[in-house]
Amino acid sequence: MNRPRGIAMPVEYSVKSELGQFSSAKVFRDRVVVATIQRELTGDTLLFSSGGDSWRLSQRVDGEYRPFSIIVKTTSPRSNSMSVAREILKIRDHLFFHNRKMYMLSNVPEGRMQHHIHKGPKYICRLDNFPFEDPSEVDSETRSRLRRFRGVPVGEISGIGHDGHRVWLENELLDIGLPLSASAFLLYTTASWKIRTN
Amino acid sequence: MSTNVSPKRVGPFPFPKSDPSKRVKDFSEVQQPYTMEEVQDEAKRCLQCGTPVCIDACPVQMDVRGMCEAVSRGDLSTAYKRIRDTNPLLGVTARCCPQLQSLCEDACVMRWDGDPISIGMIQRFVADWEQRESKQPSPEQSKEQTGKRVGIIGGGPAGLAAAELLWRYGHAVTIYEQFGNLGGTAQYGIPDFHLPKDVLSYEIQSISELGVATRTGVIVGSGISLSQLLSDEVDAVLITAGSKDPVKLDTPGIDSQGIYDCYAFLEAVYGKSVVSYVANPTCILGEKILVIGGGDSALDGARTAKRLTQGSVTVVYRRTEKEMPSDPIMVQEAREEGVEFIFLADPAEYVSSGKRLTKVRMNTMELGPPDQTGRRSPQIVKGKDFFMDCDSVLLAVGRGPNSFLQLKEGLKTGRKNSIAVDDHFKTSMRGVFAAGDVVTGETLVVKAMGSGREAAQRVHEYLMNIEDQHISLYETYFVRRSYEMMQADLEGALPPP
Ligand SMILES: Cc1cc2nc3c(=O)[nH]c(=O)nc-3n(C[C@H](O)[C@H](O)[C@H](O)COP(=O)(O)OP(=O)(O)OC[C@H]3O[C@@H](n4cnc5c(N)ncnc54)[C@H](O)[C@@H]3O)c2cc1C
Ligand code: SF4
Repeated sequence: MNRPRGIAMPVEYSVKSELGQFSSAKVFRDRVVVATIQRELTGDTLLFSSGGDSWRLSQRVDGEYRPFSIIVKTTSPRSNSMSVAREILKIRDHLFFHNRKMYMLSNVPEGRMQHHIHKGPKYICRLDNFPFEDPSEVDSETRSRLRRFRGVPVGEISGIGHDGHRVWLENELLDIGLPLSASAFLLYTTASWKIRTN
Repeated sequence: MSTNVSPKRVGPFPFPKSDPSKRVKDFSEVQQPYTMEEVQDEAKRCLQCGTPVCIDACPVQMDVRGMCEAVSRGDLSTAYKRIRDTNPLLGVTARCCPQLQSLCEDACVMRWDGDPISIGMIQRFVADWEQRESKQPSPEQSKEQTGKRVGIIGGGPAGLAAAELLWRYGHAVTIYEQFGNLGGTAQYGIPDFHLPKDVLSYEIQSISELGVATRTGVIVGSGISLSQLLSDEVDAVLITAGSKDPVKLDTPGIDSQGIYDCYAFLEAVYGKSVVSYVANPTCILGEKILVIGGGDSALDGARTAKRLTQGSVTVVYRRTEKEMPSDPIMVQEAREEGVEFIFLADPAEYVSSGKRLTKVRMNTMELGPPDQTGRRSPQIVKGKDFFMDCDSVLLAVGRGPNSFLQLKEGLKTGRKNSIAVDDHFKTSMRGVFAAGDVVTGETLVVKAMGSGREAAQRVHEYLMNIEDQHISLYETYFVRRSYEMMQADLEGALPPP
């Protein structure tokens, strides 16, 4: 699959749900299935990697359901029910903090016109001078002005779920590439979970 | 639903527009409506998403999907009922929301494959139909009156949205407004060519008719204090006093005659009516007007000045067009009307003859390293200043929260003297809550409404002593407004609000 435009990014994930398949999707990396996504009746979603790891994704972030927010935690393997779920990614209002840097999904990169993104891909950007380190701590003024922030593009997402939602990432996001791709799919393109086919 | 219908968009424009050479001579509306056939076709493009991201992106969780479903069947009444449930200013937000700027149309999944659904245009059609052709029943109030009284200070979008929700919870609500009309900045700032005032007045009247009391011409903090209000008239107060404080500049010559605050100018023109302003103008604009700033207010000021004078109007912005915070749709509309733009320039000195402004010495700017927002900060290029002749200048360089009440009453303040609130919208004074632009600084009509509604819910929980049972409005939508509910037509069975 070719990226529509932009600079080369080393890793490409693709998340695809079948038409009529309302609660599951497959995650591909370089065209090979690397994980499956399963929606639970509770509204949470489970992500199973081919390597045997699994994660629970929930839109209940900081105590309540929130738009454009998701929390990803490890699930304890059945053999070890004592192990504690570990949070590996928290996205709140498009923002997430990773490896001491703040990132924003669906951000307009610096130097790009706003209307250039009315079609085509959305960007994952690093916000280098962002004044907060935890998306939960962002004050209401900053939160209401997130649209004004401009970052450095380190990822690109595009495409609707049933065609394959594609996520390209720079190396700095590679360690969370799989849960991040699944989250982008769930937050921005899940039309396909229950698309009407008639 | 079908995806085989052609979208109506032309470039970034989801709507037809009036002829620029004609519209620049009056204050008539720029955006032109779809026909019934067009609006149905557009609604049919909606995919009826299982988890609609358009609603996630709407600060008032307007039921976009339900609207499209009903409109595609030609059932405007159901469409209206669905969207009116959480949005009391339908016609206003349809016209004023920059839907493509991080709101519903930007989120719509159709943008991945082609053009997002023109949600604003469908919404506008439904709202106009209700206003002009077929008045629909108002939203319902909770069956039981609570006997509690709430005072809302400020009748702008935040106050209006909060008032309606508090009324629906069963409280007795009074809006205290300093001006003669409700509507706040939507009344006194947003131009008629963008938002015809009959649309706003109609929607305000619909809220008042529910039983929300209004007391206009009352400045809380001046005639009556917050503590007086709380001890004599109400059980809780919600402050939604908006933005007001101008940014103070110390550019040499800033006090020259002919330099006006753009917000005060817009308030003078649109506060009563354009006709009364034209009969008695308060700003002497002349024929060469410079507007300083790069936001929507600068464009509103420029386009208003162009209509009033037919002169030469130039917007001067210190960064490049790419960094402009304004909606690109507005920039294009302004260009069509003959407004000119100069980028990478910033006033260094206002030069006058006598006391009257005659020209501005401009610094040439260049972009340096990024600031906190990631946008590259403008820096002066030494030795490259230049002069621009002008008769007047409109300053649209932003305005801060209206600080009058919090400073007068000693409420805890945040950045730029905004009212500091906790996660429950509570201020430092017991029983006093705050929301909208007075908390966040200037945002958008729909964001102020969303904030007003969330605060109203907190006020309700405080009054009824059920704060520990809080479930957010988004979560309520998320859980109750499921696809299955809509399909089974069970949404109507949900209890208000
Ligand atoms: C020129 C301009 C153009 C804009 N265009 C758009 C647009 O196109 N789209 C968009 O979405 N947004 C736009 N906005 C922003 C939008 O108007 C505001 O974000 C929104 O109105 C804020 O709502 P609010 O209720 O918080 O405050 P406001 O609308 O400012 O209302 C506050 C109200 O409180 C009253 N008040 C204040 N203090 C007191 C007191 N002590 N006692 C009694 N009453 C008091 C005021 O008189 C006012 O009526 C624009 C703003 C400006 C200035
Ligand atoms: S996201 Fe777009 S396609 Fe999906 S329900 Fe909303 S308007 Fe319809």
